[in-house]
Amino acid sequence: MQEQNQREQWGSRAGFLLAAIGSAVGLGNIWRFPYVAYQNGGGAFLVPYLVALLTAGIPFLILAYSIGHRFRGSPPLAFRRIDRRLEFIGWWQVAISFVIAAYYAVIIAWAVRYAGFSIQQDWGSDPEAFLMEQFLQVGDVGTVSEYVSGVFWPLVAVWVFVIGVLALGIRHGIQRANMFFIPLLVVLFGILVVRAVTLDGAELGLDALFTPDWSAITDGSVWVAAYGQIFFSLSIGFGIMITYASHLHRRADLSGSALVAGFANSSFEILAGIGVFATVGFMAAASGVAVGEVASDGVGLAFIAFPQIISTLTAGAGFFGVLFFLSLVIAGVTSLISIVQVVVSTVQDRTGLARIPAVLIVGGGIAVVSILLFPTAQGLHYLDVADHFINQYGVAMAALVIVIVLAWVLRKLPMLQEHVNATSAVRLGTWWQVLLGIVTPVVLGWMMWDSLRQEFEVNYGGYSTDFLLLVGGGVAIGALVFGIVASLFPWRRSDDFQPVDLPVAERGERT
Amino acid sequence: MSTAAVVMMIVAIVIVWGGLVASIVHLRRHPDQRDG
Repeated sequence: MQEQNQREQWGSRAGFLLAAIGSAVGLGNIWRFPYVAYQNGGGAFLVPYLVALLTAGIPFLILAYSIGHRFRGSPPLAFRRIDRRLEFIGWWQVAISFVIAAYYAVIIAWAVRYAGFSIQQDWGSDPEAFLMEQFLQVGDVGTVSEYVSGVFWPLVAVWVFVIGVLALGIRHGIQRANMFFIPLLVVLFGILVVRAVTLDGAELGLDALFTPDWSAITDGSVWVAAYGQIFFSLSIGFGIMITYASHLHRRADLSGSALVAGFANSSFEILAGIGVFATVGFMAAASGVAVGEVASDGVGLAFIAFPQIISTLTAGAGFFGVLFFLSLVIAGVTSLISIVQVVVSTVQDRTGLARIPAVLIVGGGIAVVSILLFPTAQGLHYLDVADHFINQYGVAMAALVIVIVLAWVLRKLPMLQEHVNATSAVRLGTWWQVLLGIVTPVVLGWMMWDSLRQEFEVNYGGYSTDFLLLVGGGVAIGALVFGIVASLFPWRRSDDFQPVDLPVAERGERT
Repeated sequence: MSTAAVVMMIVAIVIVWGGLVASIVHLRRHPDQRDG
């Protein structure tokens, strides 16, 4: 077991923060937020969105930091140290991270190829047909029928890169990669936004995104959308922040770090909203249609709408396309690194393996699953269904179980609050416990209910019930079952870890 | 752009980016204390 004094630490506070921001800023910031905001009241969405950030997002980030920091372990070890019976939650999160990493990597591989396609706009006049037929060669739903080499090789490259970064460790690998990539992402995406807002018609898109529809504020579904966006965007519930915070030094400021990471993530979302909608507005103006007809999200926005728009640009089309897809690659890779690290850190804690063998086993294992399943004619179907179900019934449900157990069953929040306050400049009060114990579970429960209700009303994505149960139900229930089973195996080595009650330090300027 | 859209865009930028700047400034003013 890695003891406290052996646990590798971040080289600096900025290093930890950039890694935490790199983890939170992912594909969802670029391709999900703008459309969610547009669909849920435009400018008025800002109100529920900020309320969600402050009442659930940042409080939950602080909770995850405090668990990792006090109990100094990957999720299974940290939860086991809180209470032996909670170990399954950690393993559940590890399984969730495994599933998400496997499909997340393939989207990055697509973006790598599309950065290349952008130069000559290889998708031609029909980007949708190009994506589905030529590039992904999407086949019927079912078992894997053939491999697609155009996705296979970039996916292998993505995995080699991620494994290489992780093998270098927390400080020399993860921290260094984020200290390079996050500033680069801001610069590249910043250039893209400047270009986007100077396009003809940009104002139409920004108008559509920011014009407030105040009636939306009284609509419950808008609030569900806002809390959902904050939860999924901040990547809480995967155990990433528990893992990253376990490598912080003992007197790190937890609540202040959570505020920076939370606001940085939202800042990038606002920037992405401006960039994406200015671009969408240009397309609407150029083709004489309403903004709503061009706007979309997810795979459709990035790999169909954007290629179409890039082809419509008269000058600098290749440059604009490369900027957009490189931004997706960077945002995705820094998140993927953090997701895989959850599993790596867990295997190290559980087996005592050194970093490099653990990285090779874990990274190699996830890579094999990823490479076997996703660069195939059926890959898009698996990805779509696994993504929906593991998020709704894995990430969100694990978060719900964590807050209920810690707030109501074991009543650990006062202890964690004290732990945060011992080292942090922004002091937590009872309000933090109220937000986590009441507001967060109510909202997460509501999200879950809303989502379940829709599952029974209409089959997700129009897939057959059998396929949804097999793939969607399989990953969601499988992750939980794995968590429970893995927690039943006894640990051979003894754990004499004792959390340290840090004395409340006199805070102030320090030279 | 309509006035309402411009106002909301500015409000969003000021609150969210302002929140980021304020939290960075606050954190910088309170350096972590290392174990002695």
